[in-house]
Amino acid sequence: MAVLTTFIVEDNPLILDTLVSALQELTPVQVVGSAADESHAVAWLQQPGHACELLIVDIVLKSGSGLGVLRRTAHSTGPERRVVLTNYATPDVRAACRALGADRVFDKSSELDELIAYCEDVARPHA
Amino acid sequence: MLPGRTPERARLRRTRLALWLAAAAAVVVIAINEIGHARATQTLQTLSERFERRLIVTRLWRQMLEAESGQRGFLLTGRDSYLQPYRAALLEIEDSLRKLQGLHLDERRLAPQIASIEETTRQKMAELAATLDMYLDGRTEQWHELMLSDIGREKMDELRRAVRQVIDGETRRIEAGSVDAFGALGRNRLAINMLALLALLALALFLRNVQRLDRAQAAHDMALRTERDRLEATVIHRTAELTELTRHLQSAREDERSRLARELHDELGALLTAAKLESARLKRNLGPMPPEAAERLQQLNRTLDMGIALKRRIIEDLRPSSLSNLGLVAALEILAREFAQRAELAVHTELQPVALDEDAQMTVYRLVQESLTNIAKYAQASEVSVSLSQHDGQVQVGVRDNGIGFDTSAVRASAHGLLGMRYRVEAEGGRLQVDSRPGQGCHVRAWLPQSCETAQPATQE
Repeated sequence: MAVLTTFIVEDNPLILDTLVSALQELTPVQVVGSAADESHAVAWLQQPGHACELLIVDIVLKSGSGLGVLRRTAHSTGPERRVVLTNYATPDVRAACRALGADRVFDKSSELDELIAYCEDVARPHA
Repeated sequence: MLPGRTPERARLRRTRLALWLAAAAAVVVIAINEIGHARATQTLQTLSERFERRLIVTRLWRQMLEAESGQRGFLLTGRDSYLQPYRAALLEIEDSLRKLQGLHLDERRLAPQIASIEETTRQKMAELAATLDMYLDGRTEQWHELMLSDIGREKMDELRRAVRQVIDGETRRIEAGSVDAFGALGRNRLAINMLALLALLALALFLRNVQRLDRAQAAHDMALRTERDRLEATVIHRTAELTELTRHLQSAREDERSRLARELHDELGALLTAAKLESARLKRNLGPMPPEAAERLQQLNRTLDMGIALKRRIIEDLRPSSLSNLGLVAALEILAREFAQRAELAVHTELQPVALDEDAQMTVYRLVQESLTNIAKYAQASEVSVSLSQHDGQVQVGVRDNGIGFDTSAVRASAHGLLGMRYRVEAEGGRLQVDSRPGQGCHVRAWLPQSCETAQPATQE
């Protein structure tokens, strides 16, 4: 199974750890980097040599916002797929995320299974 | 600060004294005037009597001369034409004597002279008549003798003296009476002049008093104005303090809510999400499992979901995430939509992007939230409209309903959270207006100063 290089933007270390280990164990995801706020995330993504196939962002961050990350990397040659993992997956938030180029929006609490399935699905053509 | 009792009482006493003095002056002047008038009247009456008497006496003398001259003419010529004036003069003499008697009754001093005139006149008249009778009877010697006896001339001299005496006396007394009348007039003039001067003096005193009262009133007004200004300044100061306190309390409250929400979100949320992830891993790792275990795992997931839902509701209530994530317009739209679903009524929104800082946005959000809560609780409305707009540096937010309304003057200010709203808006430098009448719905409006930043929420590009 081919790996799916992934960058995660998440400010909570507990969630980050659990997410990384769960995704790496259950899916072909290989986490190549992570950031806890908007500026670090953008900095990492815009740095030459840094590349990933999947970007997972949380909306509420220590500073800045996941939406800001999406907006500021929308036009760069960034990751092919961007998904949002948030506690605020209301229809409006979903629409806003889509408008900013997010492929999918997952609820942090109720749609973790869907996120895992999506990661598996995305990785499949790479096999 | 009010004028004391004592000056007031003194003023009253002065007023009463002035009244008494004015009354006394009037009485004195009236008395002088009346007495003078009575005396002058009497004097003038006496004077006119004296004139009359002098006139009658003079006339009597002239009539006597006419009678004598007529009689002499007849004696000399024997013509009847001389008798006619003689007889007329006699009749006039009788008339004059009657008038003289009518006049002298009240004047005792003149009585002897008047009597003497009368007596002499009658004797002279008798002498004239006797001489004439003798002539007519042809007793020429006898009447010649009578004429030569000088009795006629003596009687005329006597009468002339008496007449002269009366005329001179009366003339003297007329002069004295005139002096007396003029004296009375002069006294009256003096009294009236004095009264006029007194009136002038009283007027001057009165005017001075009025002026003093005016000055006292002005000083009193000034003191009142100063006191009012001081109170106003105090009120303004206190209001500012209260507004500042409200702002502080509100901001402390919002801060506390935010802190709680953040903690719940960060810590509890992370724990729950981690638990969910672990549960997902567990399910995958275990693969096929006994039905009871699968059931238990599902139950665990459901319990976790309930915890997550509870956490989310609490957080949303504490701090509307839509506001910080999506901006004010979207947050209000969400609020309105959710309210419409929950309260089952029509909510119209007309929201434009506005420039407000975070605190002011929160104020607007809470105002709309509070108004919607009130509408759900009290208004019995079927339609609600929420508006947000910006003109000339002012942001206007409005919530209008078509419910039962209320009397804004009757409802206590603290009721329905109106007072809290008002203070909150004023703490942001804005103002709140609530328009409502029973049966006319309610319109809550607030105006807030726009912030310096441009009017564009983060996610609306």
